[in-house]
Amino acid sequence: MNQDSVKIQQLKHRYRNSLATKLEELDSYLFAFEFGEGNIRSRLVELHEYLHKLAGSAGMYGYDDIAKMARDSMAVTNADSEMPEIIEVKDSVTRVRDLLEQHA
Amino acid sequence: MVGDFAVGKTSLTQKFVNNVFSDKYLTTIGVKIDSVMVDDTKVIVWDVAGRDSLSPINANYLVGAAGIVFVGDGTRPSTIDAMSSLWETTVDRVGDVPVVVALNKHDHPDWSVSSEQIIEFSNRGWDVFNTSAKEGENVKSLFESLVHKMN
Amino acid sequence: MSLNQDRVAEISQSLFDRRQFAYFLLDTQWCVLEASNNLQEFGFSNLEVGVDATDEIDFLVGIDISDNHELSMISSPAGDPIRVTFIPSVSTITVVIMDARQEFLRQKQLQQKANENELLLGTQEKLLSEIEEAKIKLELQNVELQEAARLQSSFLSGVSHEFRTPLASIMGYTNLLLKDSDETSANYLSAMKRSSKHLLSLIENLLDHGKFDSNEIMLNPKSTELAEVFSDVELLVRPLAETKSVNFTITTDWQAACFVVLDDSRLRQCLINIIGNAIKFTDQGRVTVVASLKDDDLHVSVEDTGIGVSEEHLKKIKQPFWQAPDTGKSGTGLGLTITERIIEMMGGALDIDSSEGVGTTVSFNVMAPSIEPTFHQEAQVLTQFNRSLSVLMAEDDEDIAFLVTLLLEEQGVKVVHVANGALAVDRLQHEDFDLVLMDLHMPVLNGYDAVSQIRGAGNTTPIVIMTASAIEADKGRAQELGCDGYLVKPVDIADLLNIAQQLVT
Repeated sequence: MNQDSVKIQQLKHRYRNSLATKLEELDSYLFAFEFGEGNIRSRLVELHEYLHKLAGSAGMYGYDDIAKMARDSMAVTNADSEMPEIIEVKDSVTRVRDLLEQHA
Repeated sequence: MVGDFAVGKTSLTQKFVNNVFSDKYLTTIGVKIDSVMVDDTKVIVWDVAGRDSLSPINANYLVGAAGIVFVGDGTRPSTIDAMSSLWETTVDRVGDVPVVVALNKHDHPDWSVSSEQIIEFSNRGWDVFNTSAKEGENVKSLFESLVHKMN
Repeated sequence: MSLNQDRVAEISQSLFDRRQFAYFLLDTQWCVLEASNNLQEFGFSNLEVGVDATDEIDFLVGIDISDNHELSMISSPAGDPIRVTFIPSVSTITVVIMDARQEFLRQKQLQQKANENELLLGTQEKLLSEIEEAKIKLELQNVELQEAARLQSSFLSGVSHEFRTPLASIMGYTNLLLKDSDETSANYLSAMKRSSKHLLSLIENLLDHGKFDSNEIMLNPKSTELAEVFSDVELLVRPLAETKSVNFTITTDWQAACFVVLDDSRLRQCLINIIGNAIKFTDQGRVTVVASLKDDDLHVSVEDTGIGVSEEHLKKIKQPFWQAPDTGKSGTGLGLTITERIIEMMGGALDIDSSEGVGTTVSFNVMAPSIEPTFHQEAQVLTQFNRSLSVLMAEDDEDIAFLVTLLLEEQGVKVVHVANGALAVDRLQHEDFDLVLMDLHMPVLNGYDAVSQIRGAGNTTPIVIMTASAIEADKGRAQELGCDGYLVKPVDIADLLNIAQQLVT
């Protein structure tokens, strides 16, 4: 495991190229959370799960900053505890999205 | 006509006496004498060389004066400040004769005269005129006012 | 001055003829008693014996004649400069008129020059103070302008930001819809996506522009493999070229693993903008990109055979918001402005050369200090297994699944990947594995429920939980359910193999 193999490089490349889409997806979850219809708690869960996914994969691909920020944001968007303020959610998710944007 | 150099003593005199004006600056050497009738009075105008950095006013030219026109340049405050010391020189030589003040170049955009100065001159009993030798503004009034005071 | 009559006579004797001076003699009533012959030369024409001199000579009016007196420079009635000296005696006054032309010329030269100089000095001082005032005024105006520009750009970025969020959500939903749509819908959705993307990129440009104005743009230079940047860019722009009959090539002159320090995402942005423009304005022919690296300087030229730019437009092309009229192309007119500013920030310059109807060459350079390639740290010698391990991985995130699969396969591990807990449970009923890797958050059946079903069915295969969040990692619960270990993502393959070694014996 000296240098990444070609396949892994390709995979990393693929991941990097997917960051823009992930940014769009995160934005849409955030938007849905803020303006969507139906139960707000379930919308928060969806957002939370997306952050969860992001935290996992970003860390695996070496984007430690995104992973950390996403985990921080997961703590804010945890629907099991008290319902967070919309503004708090927005703030923390925006920090994640800004990082994504930086890398995308 | 007494004042600093290049304030317009000759221009005012020439405008009044001969109704001519030239933008070109020509320094007066010594004194130029002109005469003109104001109503029934023959006025002999002594257009005295201005005070400059090289020479003070030659007080000999002031002897016998029956009235003084102090001329200052409204665009050069120093020439107006100078009037007080010129007055001292003058009063030494000719006594407390009637005085009018011409603040000349009133047509110029750089005109800057403080109202305090005008008030100070008025307090001395001097009539103050904003003049423009170029436009002829107040030139006649200036001399007529002096003649009126002298009579 | 105490000249007596004898002296005057002497003077007149010797000098009359040279016409340098004249004289006349008055009694105390200004009546002329005597006059020299040459008085006419000075213009005193009517000064005859017996007349009142004050009637003829203005400068005598008001003169005090009881004392020595001199008018050193005065005009004669003929207009010439003369010196007039009054010499009183008991009952008479001698008035001596001397030619002063030479003295006049001397004084005039001196005085005219001196006074003019002094006037000039005064004017100069005034001008200087005016310049100073103007400078202060300009500075004030500049501050106001900057404030206005700042307000404008903060407004722009505010508005852009407000636009972006809903737009991004439109794009996000479009993406989600695209995943399971039929062909017709997919076509429509793709069109929507393209339009949204275009709109988004316009907004991004506005935002960037605003950030430049408020100096918020920061470069983030890092170790970058140049080839990767260029292949990324090629991937992105090639489809654009392929929709037209444009022959698109990229030529680079460096070795495969060439690492430099620069802000790769900004470089990408510049390349995409410049190459994108070249393709956009070229309907046939070619777009040729040539990049070379020399002396820590990356030079790129993008040559196209497009419509070109007229000389007149070339001057304006880098101005913000400017767009060539009548090209039928849309945009904010900010792309090139931003690109140029980024390039300048990166220590380079942008140059555009174009002839209308023939094509355009945009070239730029940026600082690109090379460094030794950073090899990934040598991992510890990995545990070797005597036989090939087989692993079942339940993970709904493809990104993670693919990567872990690859990494494990490179270590000789066989991996079967399923996308949720239910599939894992199902798979384990039919197949044996050495190890199960279980994600927690999964659709259909989550990790905990899957583990409990597996254990409930009596399966004792070692299970390692993978979770993205340490907060959620509930060791107690995992053990209670019968998990054998767990890893927090990002999962280190070495850790994973170590755990595997402990569990699989």
